[in-house]
Amino acid sequence: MNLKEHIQQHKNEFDSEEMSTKSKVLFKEKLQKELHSVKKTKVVYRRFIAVAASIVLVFSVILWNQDSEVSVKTAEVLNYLEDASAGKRLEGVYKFDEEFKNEDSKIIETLLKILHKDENANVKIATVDALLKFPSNDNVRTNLITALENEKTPLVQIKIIKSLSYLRENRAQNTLEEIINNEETFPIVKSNATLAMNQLKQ
Amino acid sequence: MNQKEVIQKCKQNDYSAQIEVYNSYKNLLYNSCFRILQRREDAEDMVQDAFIKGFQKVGQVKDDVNLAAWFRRIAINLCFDKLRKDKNIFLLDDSIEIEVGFIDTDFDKAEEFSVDIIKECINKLKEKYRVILVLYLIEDYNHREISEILKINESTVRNQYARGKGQLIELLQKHTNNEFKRTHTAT
Repeated sequence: MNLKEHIQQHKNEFDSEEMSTKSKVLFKEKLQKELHSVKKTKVVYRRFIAVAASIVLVFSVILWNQDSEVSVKTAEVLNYLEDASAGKRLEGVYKFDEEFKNEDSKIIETLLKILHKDENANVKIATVDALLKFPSNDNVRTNLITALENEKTPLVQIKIIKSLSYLRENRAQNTLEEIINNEETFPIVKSNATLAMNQLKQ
Repeated sequence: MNQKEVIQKCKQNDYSAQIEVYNSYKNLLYNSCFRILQRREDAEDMVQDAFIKGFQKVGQVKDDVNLAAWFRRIAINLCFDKLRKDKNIFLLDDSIEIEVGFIDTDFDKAEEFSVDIIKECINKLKEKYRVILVLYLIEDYNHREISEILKINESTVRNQYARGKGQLIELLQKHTNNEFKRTHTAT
């Protein structure tokens, strides 16, 4: 007879050990604790979870609807801002109105890109107006200063200078000083820069 | 109460039915756990955990399931989870050794040995061989089932079983020789 057959024939003798007497008491305690005593708490807990989940679901649906409306408008504005035609871009900047109460990072980024790179002065000027809707956004403020450093068109320069003065942006003083001291600067730009400088120093 | 009724009651989280199941199978599970873990306290803990886990999951089984085998399987799995956690055994898969190959030794004189001697010799084996022999010879699992429980290749199981069995036979034969010497020295 082989080993397995022999062992299986005497299987009962292999199962002769018995659990200690105290183990039954311990098991009853454990069973009560794990599967019986917590029943009420579990039900209350599950109900609480169910109510909380329903509330979250309702709010999610509302927020999702709001988000989807905003995102459609954002996409529309972005389409205009990225159009090849200056007229369309201008239209896009003006579409960026009161409906956009929350800062939309994608639109702000596009506006800042226009501020630095657009070839059309009117579009740039309208863009500065649009950016002024976010006076506490530091990214907007620092980009206005950088734009002023690089800007060569007098009308745009004046618009940015006035905006920085309106924003009481003291970090613009060095740039204003350079514009004032630059011999190539148009006199009208110089006088606006000097006025802004005086206002900032007050 | 027949087994089907007991299962249905357990599915309803009936305390009396759960205690009835515990009383019926606790020693069966305990022996299986003790053979694997070799420590009375650990084996008792595993039995209790197995019943609790089983009662939590009993809703997933059919009413005609073999309850004893089902609980025993849970208990054995818990034992190996513990062994893996405590000792990190079975992490090394030496199935590559199968190429060298261990031939499953034929042994047809098992009836010459008492259960106690076989138990004693199995317990002397290295743990990695002992647990596989226990599962195969005593718990009556096949190699594939053992590989699933131990989470190692089936070929590794076969290899380790052959090695373990070889060592067990050596121990049994050594025991016979010692008995023979002892008897002859006494006379």
